[in-house]
Amino acid sequence: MVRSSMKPQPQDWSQLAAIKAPQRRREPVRSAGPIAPRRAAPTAASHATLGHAPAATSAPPAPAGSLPPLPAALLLAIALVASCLLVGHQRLDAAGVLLCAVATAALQAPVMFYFGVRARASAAAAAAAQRQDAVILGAMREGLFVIGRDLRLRAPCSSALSELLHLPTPCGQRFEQLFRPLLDEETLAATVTFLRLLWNDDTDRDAIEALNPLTQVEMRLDNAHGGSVRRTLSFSFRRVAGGEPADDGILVMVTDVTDTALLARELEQAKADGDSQPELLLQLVRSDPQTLTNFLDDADTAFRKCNAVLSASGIGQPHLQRKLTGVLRELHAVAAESQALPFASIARRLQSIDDLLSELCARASLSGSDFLPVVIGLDDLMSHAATMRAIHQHIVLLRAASAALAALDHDHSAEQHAPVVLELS
Amino acid sequence: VSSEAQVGVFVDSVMHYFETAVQQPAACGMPHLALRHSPELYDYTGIVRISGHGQGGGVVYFTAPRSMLCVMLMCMQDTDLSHEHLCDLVDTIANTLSGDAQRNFRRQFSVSVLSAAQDRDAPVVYPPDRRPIVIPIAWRSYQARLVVCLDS
Repeated sequence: MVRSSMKPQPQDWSQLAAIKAPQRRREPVRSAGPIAPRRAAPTAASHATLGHAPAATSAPPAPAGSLPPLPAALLLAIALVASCLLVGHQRLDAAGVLLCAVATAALQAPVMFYFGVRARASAAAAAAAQRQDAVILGAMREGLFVIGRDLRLRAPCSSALSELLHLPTPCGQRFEQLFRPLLDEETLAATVTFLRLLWNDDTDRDAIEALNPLTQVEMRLDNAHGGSVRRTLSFSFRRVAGGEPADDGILVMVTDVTDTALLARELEQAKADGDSQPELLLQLVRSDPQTLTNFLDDADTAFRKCNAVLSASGIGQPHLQRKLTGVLRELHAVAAESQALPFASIARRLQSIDDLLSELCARASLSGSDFLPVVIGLDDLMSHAATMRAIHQHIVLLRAASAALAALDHDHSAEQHAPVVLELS
Repeated sequence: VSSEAQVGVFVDSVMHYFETAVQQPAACGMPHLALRHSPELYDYTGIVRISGHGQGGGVVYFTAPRSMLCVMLMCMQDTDLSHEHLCDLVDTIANTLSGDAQRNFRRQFSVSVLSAAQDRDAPVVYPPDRRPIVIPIAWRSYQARLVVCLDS
């Protein structure tokens, strides 16, 4: 089950191609680093990845194929000296050629030494930069990766990515292939369209980035114990320009926002519960006491039966499927009965647990831990039913007390009026 | 943190212990509620007491039969199967639960390891009006229980 907030509707996606940006020329490349943002301030992550980039920008490397001035002058000098020696020796015999070769070699030695030192320094700088990248990517809590034009994840990815997605080697895989088990078809198709639009040079990237279908998406990820966990992940996408067009990529950052999403949901739930308390009280006051008591009794029996089904022995797949069917049957009976009563709070809880069970029904294999949310939902249902019963009992007591007071008042007034009646008669 | 996430932390903690320390994974059985009476304790029980900073709190314990703990020790290349050593083992499991709880609920709860009780009839005090969640843990041919009762 994948839930995505801020997910654009399908009709939005059909209209996205119409979002065009003014024609702009390709901006000059500012950095020789692996990832260079084209516009806007770079994010913290991109800063991190570009930690060694400023050095490269302050001293741009010479264009490929050209030589620095000093070695070029030296080579020219060597050529001149060799020519002079050849001309000065007057005869092109073996001694003359040997002399030229020795002189050339002697003069080329410092040039070769210069190139050797330079190559070694460059290799050391590259290795240091790679190590720094590896340290940064290994220490990041967020998942960071770059998607190429072929929608394939380029190496390296941050170490946290495989932990976040519960996948051993996400790098090198196609985006669709990687996320197909994690996202539903509609969201995946929307994301692929979104990525293709990000690659389109004619579209307004700011407008496209605002339509990110994975701003907050809930995923069910397999855990190491054969069960699964629900996590809410947030993806942000940004098109970045590399040194060459082939180095362009879409920088993707993945953050685990499960706690934030859960807190927001709980806050919303608490608010809804708070709002529904007076409503529940009114519904309980208005309901027929006998019908309500019957419903609560039936519901309690059904909940206990559900728990008995769950606690029965057997954890094989046929047992788990049988338990799932048994719990669904019991809860459907309660849900059908609750429809005749005006209690939205219990209906909402029943619906929530029914959604969980339906999700489990769609799975090929089940494990015991998959039923944990169901048991917690059942506990919540029982607590709510107990609260309803307690309020109802208070209402019954208040009604009885009120009736007794009314009877007392009636008797008292009858006693006061009785002598008058007698006198009159 | 939701109840599901809270209980999940303890389940993962026990599973991880079996995978890493014992090096033989355990299976999570079907969770259910203890409705009529308190869950039965096995021979050895490691109890973790959780107290909320504001409100809430609860108790979490791992209870296992002696035979299972002996085999666990043997799997860990430990030949000392004395009572003290078995108590140490459940204490370690309780400490693992406590450590994971502290790491995950640092802002919500304070966690303390209570004891490694041997008495089957030792009373476990649950938060009032709460139903403990029983998670059976199957390991080889043995059955243990993880019981989580949180008052959120």
